[in-house]
Amino acid sequence: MNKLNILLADDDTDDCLFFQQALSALAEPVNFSAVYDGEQLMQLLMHETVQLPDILFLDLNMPRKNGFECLTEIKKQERLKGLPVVIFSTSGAHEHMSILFKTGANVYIRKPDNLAQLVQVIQHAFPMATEKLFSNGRLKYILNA
Amino acid sequence: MNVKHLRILLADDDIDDCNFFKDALEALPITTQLHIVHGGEELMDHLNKNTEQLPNVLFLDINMPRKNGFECLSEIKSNEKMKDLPVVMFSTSGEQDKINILFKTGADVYICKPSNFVQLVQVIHHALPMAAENIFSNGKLKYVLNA
Repeated sequence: MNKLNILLADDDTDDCLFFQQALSALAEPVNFSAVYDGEQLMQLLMHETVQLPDILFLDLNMPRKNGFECLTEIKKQERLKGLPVVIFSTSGAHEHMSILFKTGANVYIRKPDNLAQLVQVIQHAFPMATEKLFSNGRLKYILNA
Repeated sequence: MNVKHLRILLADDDIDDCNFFKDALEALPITTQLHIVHGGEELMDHLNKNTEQLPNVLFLDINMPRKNGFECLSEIKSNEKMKDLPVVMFSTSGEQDKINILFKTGADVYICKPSNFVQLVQVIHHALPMAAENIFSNGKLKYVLNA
């Protein structure tokens, strides 16, 4: 099986390193790349020739263009709207979650503060984010509720 | 825990939902052994009689007559012999306040019952490893499936 291509959009350098460490602890190796703000993310995704990732992990609080704005743009673009998006946030505010799900997010992860837990939630998120869509609408998942 | 052969206990008073659940388990790529009880009192009797061989996972409906799922969860989590039993709450409602209380009481996973069969198979398939892992990590991660 081909390696999954994982893209992370997060302006916090520590969180990016933490995420990368968690990925390298997974049983299945993956290809990883990161962008550090919303504008950079949208520039990359809008580039016609770029290969889209299999899953986008999207932080909400980013400068210039935040995660919610990015998600909204992604889900409006014909070429991008099928991209599975895992929202990755420190907040567990549930009122945000329902708006994000309505906008088209597939999975919501509240960032755990230890590495072992981060590995676990990422491991669970992969099959959830990539599972096939059914006519009656997608399932919505909150990890580390 | 042997995740290839799980012993699953379902507590749900709705016969249709029980059959739906049984069919969903059979559609999974793992073999499971299912026992069903149809009410909260029956559930607690069953657990009290089998403290030496508890199921690997309990799927617990919330709305049941006489003793509801929340009461059962509270009893299970305050009983020394049962408190490590992974509990997946299974409900038609997705009310956030209720979910938070269930997690505080010790539930590991909350599933809002999907209305179609394929989705039910999917959420059960996701829930089983989540419920199993929480035995090893003191139940620190909480999961809501089909939010």
